[in-house]
Amino acid sequence: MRALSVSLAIAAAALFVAASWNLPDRGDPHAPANVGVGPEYVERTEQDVGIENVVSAVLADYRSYDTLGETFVIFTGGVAVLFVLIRRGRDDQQT
Amino acid sequence: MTNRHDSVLLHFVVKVVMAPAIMLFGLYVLVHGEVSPGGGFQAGAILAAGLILSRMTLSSDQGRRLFSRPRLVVITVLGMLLYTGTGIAAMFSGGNYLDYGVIPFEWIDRFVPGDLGRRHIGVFAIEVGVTLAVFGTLALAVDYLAEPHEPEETEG
Repeated sequence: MRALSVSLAIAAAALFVAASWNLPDRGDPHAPANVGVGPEYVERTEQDVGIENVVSAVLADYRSYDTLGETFVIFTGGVAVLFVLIRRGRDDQQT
Repeated sequence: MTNRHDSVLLHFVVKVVMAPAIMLFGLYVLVHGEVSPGGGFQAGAILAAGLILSRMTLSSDQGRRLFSRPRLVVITVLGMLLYTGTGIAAMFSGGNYLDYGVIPFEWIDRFVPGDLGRRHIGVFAIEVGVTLAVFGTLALAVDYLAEPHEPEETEG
């Protein structure tokens, strides 16, 4: 059993290493991640938004609906945690 | 209830060096987020980390007067209101929701002409909103996790 799991782990590691050899280089302009809409954002941020950080521009201006949703997710999570913990505190006090 | 660690060195390092530096770095990450890596989520997390560190090491009442539980709820909701209010302000100015370029800040046009300055202010406003919301949420969650009961001094 132990030999099986060790060999499975080694096989998975070998698979990942073999797959990593085919990854594109850092900053490769022809990589799939860099030939879509990415260069468009990098070129147009300066005159569209006027802030230097492209990541912040995409996050807060182009995709601000998405960021609004993320913030609401965090807010809702906080409210849910709060309700659970407040009830736990009351139950502890009663017993 | 977190216990107070009786170590002079720990108290000195946290109180004089680390907690102020962490909070200041959080503010830096917030206001410099449009130039360097950073932004609202990171700034809120760092600010909350400073508060949580001082509460864990110094005493659980650290910053309780300034950041009491009702006030943390108010801070969180204010952050969300700042975000949505910026979007609604753009709507009232005749643009789309969260389209900061149309928000009328006449005084900002003196510094940066065109709608870029207004966009800058809009982006910064929602970053501040995100920071307040994340900070309040994290601080509240850790506060209630560490101490489910209400502390004796404060009410509500």
